[in-house]
Amino acid sequence: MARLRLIGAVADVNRTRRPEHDTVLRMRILAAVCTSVVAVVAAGAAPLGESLLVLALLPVGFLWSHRQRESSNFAAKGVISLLAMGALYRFFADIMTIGTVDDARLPLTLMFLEIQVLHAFDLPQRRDLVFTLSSSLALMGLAVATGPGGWLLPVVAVYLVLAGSSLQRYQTSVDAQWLEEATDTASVTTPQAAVQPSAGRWRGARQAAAVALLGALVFVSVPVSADASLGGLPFEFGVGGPAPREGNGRVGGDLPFGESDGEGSLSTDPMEYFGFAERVDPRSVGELSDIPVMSVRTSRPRPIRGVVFDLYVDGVWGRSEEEPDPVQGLPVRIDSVRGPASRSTRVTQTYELLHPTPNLLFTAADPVEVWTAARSVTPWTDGTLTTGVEMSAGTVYSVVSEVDVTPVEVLRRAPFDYASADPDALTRWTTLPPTVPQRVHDLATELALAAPTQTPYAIAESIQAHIGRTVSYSLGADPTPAEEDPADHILFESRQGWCEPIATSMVVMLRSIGIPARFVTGFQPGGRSILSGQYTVRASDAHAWVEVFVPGHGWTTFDPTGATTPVLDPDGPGPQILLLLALGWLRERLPTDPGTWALLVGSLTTLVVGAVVWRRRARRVALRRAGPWAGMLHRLHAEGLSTPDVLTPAETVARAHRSLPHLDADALSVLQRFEEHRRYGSPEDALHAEAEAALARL
Amino acid sequence: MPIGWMTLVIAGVLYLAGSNIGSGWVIILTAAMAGGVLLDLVTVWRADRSTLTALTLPATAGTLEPPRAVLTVERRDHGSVLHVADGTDTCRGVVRGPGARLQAVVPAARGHHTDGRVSLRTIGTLGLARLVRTQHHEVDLWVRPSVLAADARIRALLGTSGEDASRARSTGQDEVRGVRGFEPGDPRRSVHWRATARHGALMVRQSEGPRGAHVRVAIAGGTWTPASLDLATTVTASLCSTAARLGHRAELAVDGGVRGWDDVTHHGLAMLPPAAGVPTRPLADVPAEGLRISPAGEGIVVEDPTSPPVHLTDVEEARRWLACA
Repeated sequence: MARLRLIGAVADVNRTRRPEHDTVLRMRILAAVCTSVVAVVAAGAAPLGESLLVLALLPVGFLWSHRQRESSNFAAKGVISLLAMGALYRFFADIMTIGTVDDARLPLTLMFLEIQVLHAFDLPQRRDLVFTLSSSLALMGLAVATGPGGWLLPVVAVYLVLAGSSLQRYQTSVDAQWLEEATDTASVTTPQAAVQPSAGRWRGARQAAAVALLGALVFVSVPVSADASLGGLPFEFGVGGPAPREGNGRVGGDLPFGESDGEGSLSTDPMEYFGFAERVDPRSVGELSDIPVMSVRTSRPRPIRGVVFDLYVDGVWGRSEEEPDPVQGLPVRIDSVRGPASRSTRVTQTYELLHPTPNLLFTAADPVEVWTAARSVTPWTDGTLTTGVEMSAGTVYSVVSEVDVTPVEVLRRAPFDYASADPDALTRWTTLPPTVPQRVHDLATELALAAPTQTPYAIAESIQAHIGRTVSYSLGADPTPAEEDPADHILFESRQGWCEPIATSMVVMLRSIGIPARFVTGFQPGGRSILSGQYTVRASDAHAWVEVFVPGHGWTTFDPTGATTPVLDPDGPGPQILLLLALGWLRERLPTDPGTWALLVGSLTTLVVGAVVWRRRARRVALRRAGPWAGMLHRLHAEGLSTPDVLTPAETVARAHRSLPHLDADALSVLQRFEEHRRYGSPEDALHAEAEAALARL
Repeated sequence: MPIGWMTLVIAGVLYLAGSNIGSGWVIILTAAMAGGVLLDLVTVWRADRSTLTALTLPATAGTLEPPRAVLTVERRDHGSVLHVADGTDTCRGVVRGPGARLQAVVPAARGHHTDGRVSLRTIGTLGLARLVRTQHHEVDLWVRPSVLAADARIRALLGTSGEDASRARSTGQDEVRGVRGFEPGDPRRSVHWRATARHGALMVRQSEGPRGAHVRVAIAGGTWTPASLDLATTVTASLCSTAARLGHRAELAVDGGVRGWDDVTHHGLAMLPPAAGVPTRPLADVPAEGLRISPAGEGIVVEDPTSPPVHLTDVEEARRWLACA
């Protein structure tokens, strides 16, 4: 009995209460859905064959459901439900086999496409059509989530226009139903005077423009912060300077490697950055192009670490011999190296290689989970990650990192205490060759003594500040002679250089006074695409920086190159970058003197007030010239009452009496009399004055 | 869920997703959706502000002949749609464009109506926002009990005395009480030309009515339900009006008083509580004489000293009883 009741309830829910007969609405929604499928295909978010099949089946489904709109369609609903369950099963099966977080997008798109087709065969009512329109929005969302270029904009615009026109047509159906549900319906006639054939001609275009304008306002107003937190002010000012310190590094520069004309081991292939080799000579400078190397989707851009170097021999960086074992799994779990006192946050970054790279896994420091199709990663003790598979273009992997967010004040208090550290490890990161000149050691000692507190972090800050003060960034600096130590040369001779010698000088000075430090190469976070939100890392974003071991916390990042160069903030909120650029441009041209500002604001205010007063006065004068009757019509118009020219003065006043009872009836009568005299009789001066007075009373 | 709210919810979800992955594309979609809702909100607000209505109703109507209302709408549509309904949401109309004239028969309860309510629902271009407003119009509408044909019943009640009275009326044997000023609606033959010449304005004879039979209808005191009193007043008005038209002297005993039947008495029936615009109270009792109407549930009982009581439950029964069908 209960089962029968349940079946009855299900049948009742699925009963077609009011079939939708409007074929125009159906066609518009079909067009919108097809556009969303086209967008998915164009964005490469779904396989072409399956998408074309969906495009072919959708019109068939819409036609069939239109023809069946009045029948119960119960059997078809059952079949559709079974097929939908099959689609869901396939989705979950696909999800189980994905290698990266990004891989979930394809099964999701396929599921939406399949559900869209199945649902197309069951659209008897208006609400079903609206559901289909809503789910097409999900398809559109999946299409744009792939981060396509600006070429998709026309498709999105067409989709939005179709969706808007569908909603307009939908309203017609709602009106019809609203009238059908009434006990009685009023007869509606449109007076001839109210018919304005030209009124709706440009309305669609105006409305589309209004939606675009309002949408643009919303777009630039929504607070989208890089760390995905919501709320706060919609605008941020003053982000053009160095990046706020979320972690401890200052990496985040936009350094133009591509303009180098230096000598040394110059490489012309953009991907042959010498920093990713087994040995790095800081005397070299690369000439790297702007071609994109990888795109990174992340909520928090961080420097992308590639290789970590520990050996410094004859002014060249190298890596200790090591044979680490690969770790397997999905995800590949890597032991955290953060210290017990460190505060960290988990950041997920999904990398898509746009160009073949060495068999390195680029990650933010410090990785703890790697999602890769190879299911195998080799973690080196120095923090470098390698893989045995070919890292070709199109390879996608995700990395979860524990990013250090310990406040600077806490790090500065961490004592100079490496006693508990492994002596071998300490030796590894503090070793320097005897070829380093004594004056480098002396400078390091002097800077350490000058630090506000004798803690590793404070000393590192002191050394970095000294480099920032005394060394300037230049790719056109004279090459370092082969027999000279790069650190010594840049600190005492050239005082100019690029990131490799700058970072080297800091590592050497830190090691000189017994602070473990290492030389790291990788990429800067890259530039963020406004539309896709992804960070595009180019070959010219290759960079070198420093990691310092702080007792109790672990490796923290320093970028002495950033101290020498003004940097742009890569954390800028995506949608507001254009606005910020415009504001920056404006800020450069605006005066800073308060007196000038006061004068400017005062002048502008006077101009605006003067313009408003002049406009009002001009209007008053124009109305006075036009006469009291025109003044009255203007007043009625301002109250929202239209007064077609075909009305006589008596009809106009009667309409005003009826619709605007709060207006002075006597004054209206006087004005009527005046206008009747003016039109049909002889104008009288006394009546004119009376009419003027009456107009003033209105 | 209204489609506007649904759009905002989807936009919110997309916004969260888009801001999470930092996708400007998704934010553009969100912004377009929010822009659509904003456009509709602005459209609705502006259209509603510029919508003016004027309601025209007749001065009187019957309970069975509801008034025909004319609503004139003037507006700047801005692409919006206006749904118009009467106060009870019985009658509806849809207005597109800048103006329209809506005509409809609207239900109105017996009584005196001074507030003509019109419900206005302005809906945005995309149907994503709507604004509902109730417009109040000052009206002066009397809804009186309708008059049904009761010639047969009057004749049945009066018997031969009714025929004598009709004869007396046809010979014009009215009792002239005096003259009074002409009022619109007075028959032309009642003009007293000599008095008109003397006063310089149209004067008419003021008669005490025909010297016919005497019909007295009493509505019992006590508390009535709206339905039963509507039925009672309809039967009463039908009997009294028909009797007066046939030349008899009709009297109405109600709420502790007895009055002769005329237009004012008919208006008075409209105001017997419970009625629209009149506070509810029990009616005072009246002397038991002539035809007496008492409440019986949602119907009435008509008691005539010469015949057994009749129980009438609705208008159709009353119509048949009055027509002696």
